[in-house]
Amino acid sequence: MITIRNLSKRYGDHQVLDGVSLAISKGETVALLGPSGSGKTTLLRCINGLERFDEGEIEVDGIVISPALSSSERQRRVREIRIRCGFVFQQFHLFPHRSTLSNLTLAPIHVKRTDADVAREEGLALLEHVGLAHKADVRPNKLSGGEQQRVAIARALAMCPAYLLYDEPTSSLDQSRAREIWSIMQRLATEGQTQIVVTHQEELTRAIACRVVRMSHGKIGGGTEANPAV
Amino acid sequence: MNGPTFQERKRPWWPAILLLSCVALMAHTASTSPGAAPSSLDQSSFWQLLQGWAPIFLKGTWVTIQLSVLSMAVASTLGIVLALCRVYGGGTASGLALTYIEFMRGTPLLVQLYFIYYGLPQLGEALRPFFDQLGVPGLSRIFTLSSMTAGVAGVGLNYAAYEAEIYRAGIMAIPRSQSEAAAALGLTRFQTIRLVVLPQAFRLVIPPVTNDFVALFKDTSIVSVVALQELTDSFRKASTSTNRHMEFAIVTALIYFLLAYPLSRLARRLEKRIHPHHDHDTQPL
Ligand SMILES: Nc1ncnc2c1ncn2[C@@H]1O[C@H](COP(=O)(O)OP(=O)(O)OP(=O)(O)O)[C@@H](O)[C@H]1O
Ligand SMILES: [Mg+2]
Repeated sequence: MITIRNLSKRYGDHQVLDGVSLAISKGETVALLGPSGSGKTTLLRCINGLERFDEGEIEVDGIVISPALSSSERQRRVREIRIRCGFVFQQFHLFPHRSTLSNLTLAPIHVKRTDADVAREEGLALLEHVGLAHKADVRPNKLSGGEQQRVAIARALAMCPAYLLYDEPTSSLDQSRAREIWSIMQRLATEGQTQIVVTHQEELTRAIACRVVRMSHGKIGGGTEANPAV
Repeated sequence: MNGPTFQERKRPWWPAILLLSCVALMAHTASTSPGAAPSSLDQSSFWQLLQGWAPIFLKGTWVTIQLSVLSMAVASTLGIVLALCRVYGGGTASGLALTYIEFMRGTPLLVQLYFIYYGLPQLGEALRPFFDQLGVPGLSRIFTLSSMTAGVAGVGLNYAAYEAEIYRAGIMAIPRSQSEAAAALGLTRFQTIRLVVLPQAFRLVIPPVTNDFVALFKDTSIVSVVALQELTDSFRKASTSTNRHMEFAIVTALIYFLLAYPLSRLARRLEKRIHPHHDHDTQPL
């Protein structure tokens, strides 16, 4: 369960997040929509500690972060949250000096202390899952954008995160590549993976989201709507 | 294997020409020898002379190699530490590192060497009463360094400042998004630096660091001023006692060149080979 309470953030006197409250329960897939600059990315980055905020608090499975925390305590809790929340970036951000497979095994080996052979096996299974087992030994720069994003999703999944956060995962991909990603997300949704997806693409929300949350000017606007399609 | 292929396998021709002309010049002076050097102590042919001096040159070369390798190790290690302090250290550590770098780059290596070799013992002497009071009179002796130690310290500490700036540039060139991606996976700050940032930064800095190593190698010649019997010292002894300055200068230059040139070539090769094709391992580098 992720609970966001009264979150506010300013850049100078620009109010980017303005008293955002939102709850996401296990198994849900939530789409976060809104015009450019409405604060979607900022909100998502706040959840896993990539961004700080000025007021309010975020609770992930009982771990609470708030602006009041000491920096060492914040660091500790943020790390706990990050282990629970996978993050998928618009621009993939794979590690270019590592093969596809070792992009996947890095965090399990070093964060979860998974045995290297086990991590490799699980990594290969995940690559299989996203249709890229044959690219295990290839460098990310040899992959297409769609393939890179699939690897990025697999990299996040390798940590078995309770929540997956996506920031416009298909905005830099063409339609058919985007659809491949969507079908992966759809499958994850039916498998019960909790997902929060920031997107501009209504089509994506129709395809997978159980719930649509709209943001504007740093606020959650107009309540949330259940997706009739799901 | 899908490594990049390189067309520029051709060896450049000019080193060979240079080498040949040097040898020809020496052969020429050796054959037309004596008259050119009226005050020469030894009128025998240069080749015979050279044979006599060979052991000293060999030893000098070996000392120069040792000095260079040790100095490079000191410079690289300290350089990385300084760079990490500069980038990640926050106010104090970063400020201290910057002060060190600016000071080392802003003062001549020669003066630094003099200070380490001749100045430090005097400092130790001046502090002797203090150490006596502490009950450890022997402490003043550790300020007196051997020529080799002083040389390694001088060159290593000096070059560390330059390496630090190179490493820093390398680290800064890795996009912030890489660190964010690592952090988002739950890696600690230290793991992020070690497993994601540094391996990428190292790759970037290999060419400039190698160039610096070649420069360092040649700069070890300065260490002859603190009585280290390295290559330049061998040269000075040989040339002053035989008055064959030109020939010995050429020989010495050739030895330096023959050692430095493969180093820069090797570096270029390493730069290409350092891109391994597979690394599912967990090794940081
Ligand atoms: N580092 C920053 N410094 C100053 N302002 C920032 C910074 N990052 C974001 N902003 C501002 O915060 C606001 C919200 O940005 P955010 O990236 O969250 O919007 P978004 O909803 O994700 O937009 P988009 O759909 O274009 O990605 C924008 O007005 C942006 O200009
Ligand atoms: Mg955005």
